Amino acid sequence: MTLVIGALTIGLILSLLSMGVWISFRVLRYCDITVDGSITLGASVVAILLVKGWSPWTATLVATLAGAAAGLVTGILHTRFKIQELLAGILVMTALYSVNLRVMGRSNVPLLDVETLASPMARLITRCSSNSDTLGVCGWQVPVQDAAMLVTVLLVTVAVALVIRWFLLTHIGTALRATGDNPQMVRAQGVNHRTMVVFGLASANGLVGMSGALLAQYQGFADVQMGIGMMVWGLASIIIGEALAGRTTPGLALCGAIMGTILFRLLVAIALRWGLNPNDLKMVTALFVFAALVLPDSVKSAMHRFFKRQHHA
Amino acid sequence: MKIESRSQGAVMVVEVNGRLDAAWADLLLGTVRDLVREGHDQVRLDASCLEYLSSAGIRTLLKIRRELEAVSGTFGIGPAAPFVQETLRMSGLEVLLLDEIPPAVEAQPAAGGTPVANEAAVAAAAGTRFEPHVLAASAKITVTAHAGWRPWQPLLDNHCIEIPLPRPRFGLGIGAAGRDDSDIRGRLGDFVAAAGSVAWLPSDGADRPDYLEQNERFLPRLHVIQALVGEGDFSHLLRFSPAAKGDCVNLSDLYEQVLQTTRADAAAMVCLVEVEGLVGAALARSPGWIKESDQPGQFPELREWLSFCGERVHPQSQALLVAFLCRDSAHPLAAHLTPVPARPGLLAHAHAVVFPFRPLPQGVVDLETSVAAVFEDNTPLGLLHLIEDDRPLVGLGESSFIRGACWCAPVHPALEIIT
Amino acid sequence: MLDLRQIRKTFFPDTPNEVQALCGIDLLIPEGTFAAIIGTNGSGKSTLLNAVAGAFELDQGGIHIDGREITTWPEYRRAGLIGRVFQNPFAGTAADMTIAENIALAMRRGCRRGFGLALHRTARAEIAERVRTLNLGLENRLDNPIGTLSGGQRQALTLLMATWRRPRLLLLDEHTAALDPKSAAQVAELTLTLIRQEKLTALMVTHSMQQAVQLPERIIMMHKGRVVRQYEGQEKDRVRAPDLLAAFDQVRRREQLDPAVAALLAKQYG
Repeated sequence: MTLVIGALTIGLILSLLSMGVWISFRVLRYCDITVDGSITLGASVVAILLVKGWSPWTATLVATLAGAAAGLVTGILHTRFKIQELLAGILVMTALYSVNLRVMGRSNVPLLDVETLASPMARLITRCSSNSDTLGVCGWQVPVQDAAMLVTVLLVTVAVALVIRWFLLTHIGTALRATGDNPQMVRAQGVNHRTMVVFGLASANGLVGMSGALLAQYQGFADVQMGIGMMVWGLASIIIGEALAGRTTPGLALCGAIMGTILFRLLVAIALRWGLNPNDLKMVTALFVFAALVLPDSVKSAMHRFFKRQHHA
Repeated sequence: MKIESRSQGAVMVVEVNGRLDAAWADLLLGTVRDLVREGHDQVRLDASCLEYLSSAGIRTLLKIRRELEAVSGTFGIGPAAPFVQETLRMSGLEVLLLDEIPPAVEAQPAAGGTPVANEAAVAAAAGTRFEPHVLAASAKITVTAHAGWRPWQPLLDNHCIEIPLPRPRFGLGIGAAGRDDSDIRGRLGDFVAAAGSVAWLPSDGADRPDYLEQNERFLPRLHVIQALVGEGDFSHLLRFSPAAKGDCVNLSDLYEQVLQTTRADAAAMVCLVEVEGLVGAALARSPGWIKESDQPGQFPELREWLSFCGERVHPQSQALLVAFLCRDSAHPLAAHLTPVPARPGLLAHAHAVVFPFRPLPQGVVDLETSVAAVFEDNTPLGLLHLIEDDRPLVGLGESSFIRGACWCAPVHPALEIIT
Repeated sequence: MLDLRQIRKTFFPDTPNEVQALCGIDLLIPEGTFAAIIGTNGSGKSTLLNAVAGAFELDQGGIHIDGREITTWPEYRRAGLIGRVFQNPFAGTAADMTIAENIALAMRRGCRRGFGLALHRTARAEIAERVRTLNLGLENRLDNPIGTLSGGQRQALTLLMATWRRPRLLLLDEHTAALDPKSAAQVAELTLTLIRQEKLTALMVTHSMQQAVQLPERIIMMHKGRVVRQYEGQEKDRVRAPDLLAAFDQVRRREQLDPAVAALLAKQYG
């Protein structure tokens, strides 16, 4: 049960990351590798602020804004200075490594006994469950801390997803989606597509930063290495999500991203439990994304060939 | 289908193998037309290996026969496979069948025309065979020059004069047909007249020449502001054709040949030629519009008034060419001609009107019937004042011709000049 | 009204690939006039349209629409005044978005885009109503991605989008050239209907002499970055496709007449 709750919580937290990656990768069609840096930025900012005794809500908000700022820089590098999209991301990601070290002052900040987002919820649950440390759910004893985190993260993620969905259906959101689809057309309709790209990347990385902030609070530490491979992770989740929910409307795609992230996290947890070496995890993720990007086409053409042969027989 | 042609004396034998049906008929027609173009007017079809003959094929055979008759040539089928003979007999077309290959018919010079044994003339221009015929040894052309308007002065009312251009007059210059002087003022263009037909290129934006033909009682008349008109009999007919495929003769070489043949210093000529390429210019805007303040003769204003062909135009077409030339700058004609850069000392003025290609019979042909036939079949495609483009490297060179007939005569030294 | 003054543009200046695309173009299209630009490949006709739309900066010259100078406006800002239809049917619409969403984008062309829902009920009703006038049956497929439509349907919708809010100028860049003949004819007819209905000022680039003769009120002929001839009024009504071809020929020949040829002609003509 701990496994399931842990997977669910991390899954929900990373859903924010997946939604961010979804905005840049699918909506803007921009391969934004800044994500690997901005998730760590979110985590380090929140960690340092919490250690300094800031309110968890304010700290999380500042972490989100920090992520957004990183995206803003990438966007400006790409649109104003005409740097290729991948290179712009790499530049900012590389710079962020130093920024993160500067913010934290060292490579790792533990968060022991600090007030987190989950703390109010934990107090509420504790009061409701007559001051016991654990909570009985369907016959399982669940630590209150874990349950509180899960509930908080669930509320945050759902709220954020609803806000994004609403936003994408507004006039600006529609223009943002069209920007990725056909920038020429968007300009012809009077939209400054550069502003849209910058704005989209800022929101995407804001989400990633928020995801980093929540992850740090859940894990209890921020680490300068924690962002490596996160973009690929997000991609894997989106791909699974699209297989589950399709990508026809923004709402479905967002649901898919959340479900995909949780499922992917569960699969990883199971694989680790069965003895997958954690060091191989990123390799397996990369292979998975490769397969998911390449297989649908090759399977389709193989099927086509197969049926054609049958037809001729 | 396989088509092979070989010459047997003066006769060209075309051997066809396979099926002569709608799909292949055009190929056969094209092959025979090429042969006619090259000057072969006696063609026989060897149909012994023919496998099939459709109605489309028969039609083509009749068409070939008609076209060859038009150039005084002959066409027949033989030997032929039995089914071909039967098919043609059943269609009542046994006239097409020949029993044996007839002996080559020598080109019959028409009455009055006798070939001149002039070896020097025959060999003069490398690549082209010249075949002079004497028509009336002592004939001379009387030339009338209408020199009202000189380029590029503004046009005055007294510059314009209306002249009739019936047979046997021929000429060139600038003019237009219309009711009166004011009517033609905006349409004056280069013209060519010969054998009762007059063609001119209106300069009011038209891209095709207009033309008038002499009928029983209708005489073509033109308002001209500048013209050279010749009248009289031609002394010689100069036939020329390429010695080998691909050869052609330049206009200046043709001039030289005409002067040699007529043994004169000044000559007039009317030619029907197959064009290799023409280089020339034409009025693009009527001189009637020139104002005192204009400088039409200067670049870039000249662009408004003259259009230059820009490339060698009208290849493989037929042209009716009228030219006046002289070698003696003291000759009264010289004042109305311009120098020919390729031949220092030679002066000439030539206009050509262009038609789709139509073969000309061999030997001595009549000017009037030939010109009438050209105008009868087709409307003219273009009209040019011929120019020699001697710019180094990029020049288009001079107009040149593949084969043709050139009626020519010395010009009478007494020139009538109307101003 | 569109007023172009001495527009110049050279691409790749000072390189071997230098192209003088626009060589000082002066053009005045009065209010409510539908003009077509014809010209050979590389004559600068599409470049001229792109210059007006703001796809690149001019080397020199001014662009005025209805008296407002827009020379320095970026492309997206000009879109507030200009409706555009491209040659490629895929260029004018966002393929993965629905018909309704595409139109919703066009409905705000030239307006501020806020956080209001793009497809509220009244907007949907208006979209359905105006799409119905196209008679393509698309009003029942408003929620289908526009990428599932044929080129002709997409071009018709792009045209509708470009004219949804009355543009001060409509730019049509060979917008029927990529369509099959039947769709091309339909789109051409729709173009004419919309332009006549709204009395739009429009500039259309076309390769088809037939179209240039039939649709617009004025024909502008371009060659090598210059306007070489214009047909309007009675002259335009009289002109036929072969006349246009002949005029092109004349232009090309005229070009051959350089100073050297002029000297030649001065010596040998007349």
